[in-house]
Amino acid sequence: MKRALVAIVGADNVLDSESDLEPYREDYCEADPVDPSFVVFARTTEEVQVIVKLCASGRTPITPRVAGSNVGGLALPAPGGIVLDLSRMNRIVSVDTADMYAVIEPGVTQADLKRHLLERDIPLTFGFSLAPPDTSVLANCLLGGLTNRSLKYGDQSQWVSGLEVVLPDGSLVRTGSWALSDSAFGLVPFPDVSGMFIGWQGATGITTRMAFQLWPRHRLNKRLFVLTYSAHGTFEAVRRLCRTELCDDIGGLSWPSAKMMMGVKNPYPEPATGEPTFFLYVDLTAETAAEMALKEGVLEQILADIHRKGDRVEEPLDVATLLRVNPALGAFAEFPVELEFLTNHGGGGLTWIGTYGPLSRFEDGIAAGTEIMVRRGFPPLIVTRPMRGGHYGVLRFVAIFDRKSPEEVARIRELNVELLEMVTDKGFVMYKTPPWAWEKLRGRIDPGMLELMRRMKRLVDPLGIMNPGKLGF
Amino acid sequence: MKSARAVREECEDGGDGAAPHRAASGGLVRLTPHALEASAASLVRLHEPERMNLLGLLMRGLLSANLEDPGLRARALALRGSIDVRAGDMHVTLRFAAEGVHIAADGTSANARVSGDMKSLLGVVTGAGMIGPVLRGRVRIGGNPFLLLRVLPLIRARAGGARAEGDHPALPRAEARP
Ligand SMILES: Cc1cc2nc3c(=O)[nH]c(=O)nc-3n(C[C@H](O)[C@H](O)[C@H](O)COP(=O)(O)OP(=O)(O)OC[C@H]3O[C@@H](n4cnc5c(N)ncnc54)[C@H](O)[C@@H]3O)c2cc1C
Repeated sequence: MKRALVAIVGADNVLDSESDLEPYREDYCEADPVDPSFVVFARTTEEVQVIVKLCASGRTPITPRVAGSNVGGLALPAPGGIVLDLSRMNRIVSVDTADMYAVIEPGVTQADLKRHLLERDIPLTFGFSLAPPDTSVLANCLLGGLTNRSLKYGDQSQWVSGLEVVLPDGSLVRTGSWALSDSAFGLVPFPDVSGMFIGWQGATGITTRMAFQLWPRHRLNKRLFVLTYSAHGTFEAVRRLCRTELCDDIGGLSWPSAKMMMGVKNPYPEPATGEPTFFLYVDLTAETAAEMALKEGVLEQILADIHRKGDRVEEPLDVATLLRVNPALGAFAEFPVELEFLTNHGGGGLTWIGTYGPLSRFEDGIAAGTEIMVRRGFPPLIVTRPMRGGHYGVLRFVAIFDRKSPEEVARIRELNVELLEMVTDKGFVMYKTPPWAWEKLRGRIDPGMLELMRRMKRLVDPLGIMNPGKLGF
Repeated sequence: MKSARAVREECEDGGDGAAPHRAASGGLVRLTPHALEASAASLVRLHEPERMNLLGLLMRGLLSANLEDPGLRARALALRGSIDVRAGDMHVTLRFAAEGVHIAADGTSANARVSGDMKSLLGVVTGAGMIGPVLRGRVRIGGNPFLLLRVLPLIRARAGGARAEGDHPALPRAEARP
């Protein structure tokens, strides 16, 4: 196998020593480590095709990966399988400024694409997740991730306008308008076969190129922080602001996040007396100062009204002011961002139950999740965001832990199981579902859908070599 | 996660320690060379950091940044007394002692007080001035006015300490932050 791989990509692009494989055995989360047999770096679509054919001939499991930061063990290999590291396949193939889309390879990171657009003064932008700057834009689109443009434009998969995919037999397919036109303007009007690859966690093929939509970058922007003192006040504000259609993003963070950002590693699980319970960060963009002032005015009016009706909310604070007071809050000034309090806290472990669900049920979900986390001794670190105009939202319960402590890992697993059951009972659906959670949910998911998924998987990957162990396959 | 007791003990090592050296409130005393050489961050201590409220944490960031400045550091270390800062329903007491500044949210009495809503207090801290907000009733002050006057420069955000508006790569130009 090694000889064949070296023949395809060269010796520099095949790793098999214990120390080289070490970073690929595990990710941030509590999943058990798994040893790959090789890590292979591909640089072109053709190389990917040949590698996949080789794996198919030997029935070798293959797991695509870029940064491995999905926080769910989704890029961990199957035992004895290979990891196909796509981080060196990182060309920004084109940016169509007229029709506002880009064509990128899997290794293009959030930081790369931002730099590319800024350096060329292209007045277009995309959404940033809170994931580290070196994470793949393409991978997060395939996972239906959430960003600071998701309130306006939905999850990242909704921006995909065409895919180029290597199927598990090594053949190549193009989806969307790209299948016929030289312009990858959208997935319409053909049947949307891109759905075979979106949300599948790499279990149906390896995407080698993606066309995806960019959005106008406005001349002015502002990020405002709103301190709130009750879940009801917080989400009443979120729901009302969504319906104004004026905000680009309304991120929500529960009180422990600010403390952790300011250096408190393990905040006491209950808030201090008089402390705000949530921070909303509201992004506004505008072409003119008058447009910005109008938007700010509407925001202030809505907040004042909510306050008057009995839910305490503070007047919006400009993030620039907060930054002057405490630079540690700079993490929220510019995206993409390295949230070191989550990724670099010593213990190394980060996990969450991240869900999409109805905004109308957020207070209920937050109360139940907070109770569970506090009872189990974890600060209730919660991240929220309304999506796609407010039709649904993100509700995510986050915990950090010491990965080297078996007791902590056991506590985390129990916490996550209880949170998963709670959110599912309340109608929320876990995204980027890790294998352990899929097993728990399997009995509750519509059997018709599960059967259809099984048939689809068998159709494209009859040998079952693509990222085995994910989504129950 | 540590027990509350363990947390308290961890934070109290060295703790306040200020009492034996404390001069009359608002008074100035001679400085110890040790404190003058310590790192700014180590001069600002939190009582029970894991339970500290947001206001206390903001204050720590601000004071740590300001005490990098030798002039402000000397002023802070020469100051004796305590001031209660209240933003909305959150409050902390800043105690100035020979070893540095100790921040607690324990509700003990202080020599001076300043209170207001978060936005107005941040305005004062970032240079909007005290008089206007006090006259408008958005910020209230009480206790030893001399101590207040001496503390004010120490809790002013400096342009060079925390980054000022416009300096940050993200702000305020749209180009910098997508
Ligand atoms: C601190 C932190 C904050 C985060 N915040 C957010 C957030 O705000 N929003 C959000 O959406 N996510 C967030 N994430 C999650 C994560 O970073 C994203 O899912 C990320 O974009 C994944 O990119 P990656 O390069 O790490 O992908 P990987 O983890 O390497 O891969 C993710 C999945 O995609 C598959 N895959 C990778 N490349 C391909 C390919 N070319 N073809 C087919 N399948 C492929 C992998 O097999 C795996 O199943 C956060 C993570 C961290 C650590």
